[in-house]
Amino acid sequence: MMSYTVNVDVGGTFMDFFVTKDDQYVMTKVPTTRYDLKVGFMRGLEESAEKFGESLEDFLKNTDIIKYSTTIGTNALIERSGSKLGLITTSGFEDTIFIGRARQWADGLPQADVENVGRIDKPLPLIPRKHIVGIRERVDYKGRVLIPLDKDDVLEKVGYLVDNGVRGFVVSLLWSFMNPIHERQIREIIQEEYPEVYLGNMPVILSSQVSPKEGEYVRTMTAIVNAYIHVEFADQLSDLMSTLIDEGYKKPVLLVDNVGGCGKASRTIAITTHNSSPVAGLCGASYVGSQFGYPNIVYTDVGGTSFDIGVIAEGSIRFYDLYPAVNRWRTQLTMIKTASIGAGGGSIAWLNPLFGNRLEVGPKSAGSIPGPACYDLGGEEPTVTDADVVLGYINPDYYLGGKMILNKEKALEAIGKLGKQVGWDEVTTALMIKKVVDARMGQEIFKEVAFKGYEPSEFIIFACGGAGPTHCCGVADAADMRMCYIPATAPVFGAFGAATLDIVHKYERSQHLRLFDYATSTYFNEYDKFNSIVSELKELATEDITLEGFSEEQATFKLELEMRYGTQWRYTHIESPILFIQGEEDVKRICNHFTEEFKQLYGGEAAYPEAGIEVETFRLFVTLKLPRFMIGKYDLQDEGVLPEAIKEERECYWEALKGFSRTKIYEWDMLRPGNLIEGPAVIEAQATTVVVEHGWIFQMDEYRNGVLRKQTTKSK
Amino acid sequence: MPGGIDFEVRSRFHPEKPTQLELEGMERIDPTEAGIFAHKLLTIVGEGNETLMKLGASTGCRWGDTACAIYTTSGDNAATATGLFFHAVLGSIPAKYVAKHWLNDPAVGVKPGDAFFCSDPFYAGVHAPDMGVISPIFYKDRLVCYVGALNHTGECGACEPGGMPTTSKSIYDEGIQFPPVKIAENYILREDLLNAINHMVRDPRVMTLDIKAKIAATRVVEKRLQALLEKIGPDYFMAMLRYKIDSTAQAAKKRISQLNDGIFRDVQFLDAVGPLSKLLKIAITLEKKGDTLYLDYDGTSPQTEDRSANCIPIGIIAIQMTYFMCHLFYDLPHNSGILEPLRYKIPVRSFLNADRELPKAGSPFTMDVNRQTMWQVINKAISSVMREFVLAQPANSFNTVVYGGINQYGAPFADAGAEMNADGFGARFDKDGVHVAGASFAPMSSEPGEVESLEAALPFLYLYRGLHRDSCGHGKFRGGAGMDYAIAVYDVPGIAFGSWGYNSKATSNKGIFGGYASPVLPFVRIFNTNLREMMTSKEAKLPCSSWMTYEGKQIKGTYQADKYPSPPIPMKEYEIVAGGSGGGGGYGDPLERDPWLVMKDIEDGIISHRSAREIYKVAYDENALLVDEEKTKILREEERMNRRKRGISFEEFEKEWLKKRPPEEILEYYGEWPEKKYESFSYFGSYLDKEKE
Repeated sequence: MMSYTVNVDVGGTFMDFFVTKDDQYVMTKVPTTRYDLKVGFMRGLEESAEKFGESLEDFLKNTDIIKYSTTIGTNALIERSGSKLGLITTSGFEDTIFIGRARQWADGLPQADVENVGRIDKPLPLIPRKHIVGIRERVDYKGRVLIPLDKDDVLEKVGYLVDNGVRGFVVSLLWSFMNPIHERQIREIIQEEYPEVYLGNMPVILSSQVSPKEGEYVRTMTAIVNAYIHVEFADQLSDLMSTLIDEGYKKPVLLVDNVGGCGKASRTIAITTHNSSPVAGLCGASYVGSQFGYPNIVYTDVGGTSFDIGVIAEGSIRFYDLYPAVNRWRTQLTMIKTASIGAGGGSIAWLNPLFGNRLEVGPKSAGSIPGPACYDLGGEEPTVTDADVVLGYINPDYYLGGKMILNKEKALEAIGKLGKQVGWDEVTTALMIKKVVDARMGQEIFKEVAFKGYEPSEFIIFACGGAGPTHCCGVADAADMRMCYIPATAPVFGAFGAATLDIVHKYERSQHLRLFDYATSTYFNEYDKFNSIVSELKELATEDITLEGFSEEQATFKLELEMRYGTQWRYTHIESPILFIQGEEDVKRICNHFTEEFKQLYGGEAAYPEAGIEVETFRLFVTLKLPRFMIGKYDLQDEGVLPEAIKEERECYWEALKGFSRTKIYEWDMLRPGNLIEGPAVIEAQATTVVVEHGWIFQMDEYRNGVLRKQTTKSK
Repeated sequence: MPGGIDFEVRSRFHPEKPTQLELEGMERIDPTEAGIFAHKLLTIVGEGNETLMKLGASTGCRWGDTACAIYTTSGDNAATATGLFFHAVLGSIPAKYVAKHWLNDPAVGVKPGDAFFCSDPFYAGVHAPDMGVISPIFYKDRLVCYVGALNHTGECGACEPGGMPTTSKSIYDEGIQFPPVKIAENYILREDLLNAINHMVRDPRVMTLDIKAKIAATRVVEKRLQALLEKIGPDYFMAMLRYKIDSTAQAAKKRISQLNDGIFRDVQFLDAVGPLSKLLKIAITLEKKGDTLYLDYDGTSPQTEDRSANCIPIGIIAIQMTYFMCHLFYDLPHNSGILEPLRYKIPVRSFLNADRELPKAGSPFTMDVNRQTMWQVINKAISSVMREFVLAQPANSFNTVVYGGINQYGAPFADAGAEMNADGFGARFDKDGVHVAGASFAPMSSEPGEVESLEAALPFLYLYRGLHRDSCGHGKFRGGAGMDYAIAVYDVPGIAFGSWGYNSKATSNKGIFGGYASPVLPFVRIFNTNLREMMTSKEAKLPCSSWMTYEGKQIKGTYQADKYPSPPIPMKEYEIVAGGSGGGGGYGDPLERDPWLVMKDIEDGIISHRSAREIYKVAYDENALLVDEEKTKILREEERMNRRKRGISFEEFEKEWLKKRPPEEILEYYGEWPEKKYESFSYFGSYLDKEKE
């Protein structure tokens, strides 16, 4: 008997399960049990097992792998339920985390929340000032010790923290990533002075270990956030794992991380699981894209309140957020970049009196409670979903596959009330809502692609999430794009994405090297310096994979370098063509590769190698391939759409036709691979509604994915 | 002569009248469609600004003293992406200059693929280190708009490194200053001109990377606009640009009209004239009438003939956008339309409206005091109807270190420090101000950087960097604290080290409704130190805050109590400068502050015990930080009684006050005491309606 693989993705509202066996799969959604994620987790497993006709016990016995994308860590930050920590830092720099690069007040907040500068505030600190001590020590930018550590000083300050009841220590000293000797000595002193029996499980977390990179504020925050969530994260996971063991699962649980991989829970640093869900979705899109020959993809997920975007260019997910905000905290946890704006089905439409009562949508959202007016749960403000109901796209009797009945009258009422103020009828108002939200999402996509130096028109949209396929044609128009892709697995796409992940670990280290020196016009010749960093990272990688039960021969290594021209501030990262350098030719190869990449991104005019070429950060990835699930393929049908796939005809509004027209409504599940549907049309699925606008054509491909193509050039 | 020094063009700062074509086009525009278009334009200029920040090399590019904007064919700004909101209006004069002088000039001309470089503050509005590139955009041979990319490059070949010489005596000491000149033709950079520019500055690398970045930014925008023009056509596009400006103006007027009519006055003082500690005054009389604000600067000090405190009037107006666009108009688009309801009357040959050849490198300090003055009059004008916008003034801006020399890698460097981006912000009616919130003139993008990244690039060793104790204005709600620092020269034999700014003698921040002003800021130099020995001696106690440096003098050496600004002078390895940025003003009477919040401030290092005792009048246990509430009540009541005793009637006060006069030596540039009155003014925006009455 073939075994199962289980992929779980925890969202705000639902926990998604994507379970595979051979080329078959089942998708399961259960409500997220915030009070204890284990409960929803086991419920989802049970339901999935049932779909394969198995008992939970047999199912788990035959399960080879469980991949888990979780939000435990972020929840601890939101709920402020993390550990009581003390911070030990270099004397004179105790306020670093309060200075917070000044812009701390904006970190982690949407732009709209910080535009009124008179009302800004910095977040309440995770460690109060009284739990921060400065130690007399100093290391310089080259890693040279200027002020040696004084043991008595350390003992006195640690004693103060212990007396004040801290339950864990973060040690973050200036330049510790260049020379971690003092951080390590402090840890030794703490462990010597406060043996296990006294300390209990108080962790001592070193910034040089969690994130050996330049930038004392972001490094310290990375260590603090990690320490803060560490205990709860470990507790919840071990609880889940013992339940799984009790139920018969003896294999590992792999945690999905935010660099597009996964690893054993025991080898995973808590903070690296932050934002793993959209990253998994993005990886899923990349996998599907590579299978079907789409190298340039914008992955989108439109939910009730937010619109998430990720970009795949030239077949790879190459964009990182080097300083992502985790909750309200800027860190230096390199993770795959995804963006999010407040636009979704629940976004509220309003009139802006300052601009001739122009209609705007969001960022305020009705959320899921009370939700759009049509939910009839008390919401009175008109939302995007209400507009979709008024325009005839969403069937009030078949929302979420009929699980929720919508009240069209309420939608009409809310939208009518808004439109009346500017002399519009309900339909005009609804159309304007659609146009504004489509434009906003489309322009956000445009920005995400164009800001990275790519041409939006060369990309396709992956439309996921409940409202994604409903709006993707309009969004694509606004982003100058001509093709949308609706994966068959869209309802649980994050979990599907997890299924496509290999074991990947990332190791980073800052080291300033001048590969081409401006002052002397010479190439770098301290090859050992470069190579020793790569070796150091490779050793760490090898240790991890050995502990996971793999050998170095099974692994592939990839080296990325953050580079820039002399005096530039921002970095551009490249994949190094070589791991180690042996001579000047190798140095030149890396330099030339950087300039080529730079030119491609920013144009030939912008490149300036004469200014010097510098490396600042080394990033080594180790990858161990896991078996991939292959989606079953169907034969393409030529006979056209089955008559029973057409559920009904309904009045839907089409702007291009300047009014309502009888529109065919199709049932997604009844469509067959190869079926072509010309817009305007509506296709209803369990979890979404696909709107095929006038001028677009829909085709179901041999994997039951939907492909929307634009037919004609948009006229003015 | 074509071109030439053009006094006329720089008076056209407010939006031009719409063309007939624009007027006709605007009639067809729907507000919601325009909203979508506005967002599209913002995305496009956002991409340009992002490109500039990514590719540029100067400190300005690092933290967002950059802008990318679209200008109408008449040169008005229609859309801007920027971290520093004065750019939302400033680039329009160079665009107007190009339109006026080069568009139809047979030798120069304006063609597709051209780009014009401009760094002349007479047109660009601030000072020589601010440089811009303006590119014309054509659609099928028809000029449809201009695109600009601007930033503060810094080093510009002036008589001191870094671009803002404190000792300059005329504009000819202040480095290269180009009126709009063609730097690219047919999409190719003119290497001869770039080469010439590079021969005149200390850091050609930064200059080159910044210019290339600006050109790249305008090219990116051009590419996007071409696609947009294909879709919507040039007529609609041009009408939309004008509509954007016009609708912004209407929105600004609408907000202003919600205020009560009235006349509001304030004065503030600048304590630095070039490197000298002299006093200059800025006086504003604001009249709010209907939907318009009239700002009259009569009473302001005269121009400083041989010292750099002078300004270009458009800079005076533009800096105020850094208040308006963050506060009163925070929800309005960033373009020239915002100027429409703001009318200015600025005396000719006052230091806010100085002759062209007078030195202006220090104009940002003057601009800043002017903004602080306006901030206070607006606070007064809005306090009764828009309380949520009332905010005590932030710290004065621009106080920072300035330096130049050869760095630890043997490469030349010259710039100003990111320390200027660490102002404390003012207190609000319901809560304290924010500590170290950024530069108050650029809160959306400014950052003071991190010590490690600064030490990696510069020959510096920081001794400390923290919240600057007692730098805030006290109050029922106190201002946010600034940031203190001490920097030793490190790993090189020496560098030139100095400071920019003002506010070391007289504060430009007043506090509001009983809240205290934030204090003046010291800048200390320590020569011939024993720092090196101290670092290896276990017994030696190194200072870890500016108060320790100022009071304790643990480091042995020659202390020099200097100030902001202080021209760069040679300093050797291990010699130290120490100072700090300021805090925001306070709101309300400190006696009304919750005494437990006072304890928290002590615990967090924001205020001293002395402040808690003497200003907040709190009785407490200094070790446990426990308040004696009863005793505090008594202390506060006593203080109120003492205030009453000290109080005199307004008539008595005025009588005494008018007898006072500062020492003669600090009034050297002040003009007539107490107030200079002018006969000749420059007007920006129509003052006619008001003057008629």
